[in-house]
Amino acid sequence: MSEQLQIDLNGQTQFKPGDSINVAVAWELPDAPRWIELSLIWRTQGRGTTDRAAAFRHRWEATERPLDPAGAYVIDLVMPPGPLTYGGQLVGIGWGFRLDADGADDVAKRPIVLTRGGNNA
Amino acid sequence: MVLGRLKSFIKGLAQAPDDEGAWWPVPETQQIASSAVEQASRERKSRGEGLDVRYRIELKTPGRASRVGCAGVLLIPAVVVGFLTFGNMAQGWVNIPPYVGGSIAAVLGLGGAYALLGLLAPRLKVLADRETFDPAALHTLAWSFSGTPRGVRRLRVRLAGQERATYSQGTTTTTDTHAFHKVVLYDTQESGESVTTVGTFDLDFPPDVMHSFKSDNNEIRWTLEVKAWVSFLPDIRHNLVLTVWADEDPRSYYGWDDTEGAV
Repeated sequence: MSEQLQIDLNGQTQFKPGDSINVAVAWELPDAPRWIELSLIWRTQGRGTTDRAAAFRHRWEATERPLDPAGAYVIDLVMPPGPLTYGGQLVGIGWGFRLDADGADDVAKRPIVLTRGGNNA
Repeated sequence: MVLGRLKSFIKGLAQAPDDEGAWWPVPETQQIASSAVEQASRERKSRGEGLDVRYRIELKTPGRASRVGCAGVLLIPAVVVGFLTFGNMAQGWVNIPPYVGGSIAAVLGLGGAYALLGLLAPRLKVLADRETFDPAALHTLAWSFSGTPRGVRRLRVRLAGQERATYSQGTTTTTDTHAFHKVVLYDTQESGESVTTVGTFDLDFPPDVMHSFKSDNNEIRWTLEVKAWVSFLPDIRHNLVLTVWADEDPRSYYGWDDTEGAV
């Protein structure tokens, strides 16, 4: 887990499809990164070969606007309708945010639950 | 011109005295009568005496070609085995004892003939008023036989939820399945009803159920398993895959797969 990259979801871990959420990302790197990328990813787990995909992705590029070695951004996004988080006997589906940056020692990961059951904020 | 007159003359001969013929403009009174008949028909159907007009989407049912194919798969080997056993061509290079070859050919041939007999059974369709099903709602679906379901002793509809996981080991690809839900929605044997030409049944999902999902190697599949037992004929079996989700089709939001080292 990266100490240099942080994802803040305001304490929430459960979301409903269609929820509007603010995701805060922060970084503190030895040098100014060329890019920082935030993804919202689902992946299957269980007996089958893993399938995964990014439902959302945003990339901040230094070519558009210079990036400082340390900084923070907040981005708004709407949670997708599915696939919902699921835990079965053979098939499971998990969701999570992933933050990566040029020059970071590791990526930051923040697992979440996408469910119709409501929020836990 | 002459040919046209001749056609009209022949058509006139075929007409009953009170038959105004299709080439006359339909009188207004007749239009009103027709719409009244249609209205009465719709009302009759809505009272359960026929099929409601809203059931217009046919869930994909296998055609008769699959039954013919199945019969072919059995009949062709039956002919080949029979030929190799009793035919002159096989003498000298294939030596099948007549009683073995004859038995195999007879079993395969009877199986093929039985499969072909299924073509005589009435065709069964399952109809709905929508293409996707919200798991939180109660739905009503309908069945419809192509004719009077003579000989159909029992009709049963089951709802099945299944996980399917595909994985590879070496060059072998395997798909494991697990049924996480199976419930009978309608069974004439349980209700004590006789099988009718058309009818309806309720489709109800358990609470907080997982929606349909399909990726390259993993799947959550909802299926309607429809089976009709027919006297002296092969049973009618349809496994209809349902599309189950609440609101918007989530597949367009599944995204793209270039997520190396994902969460």
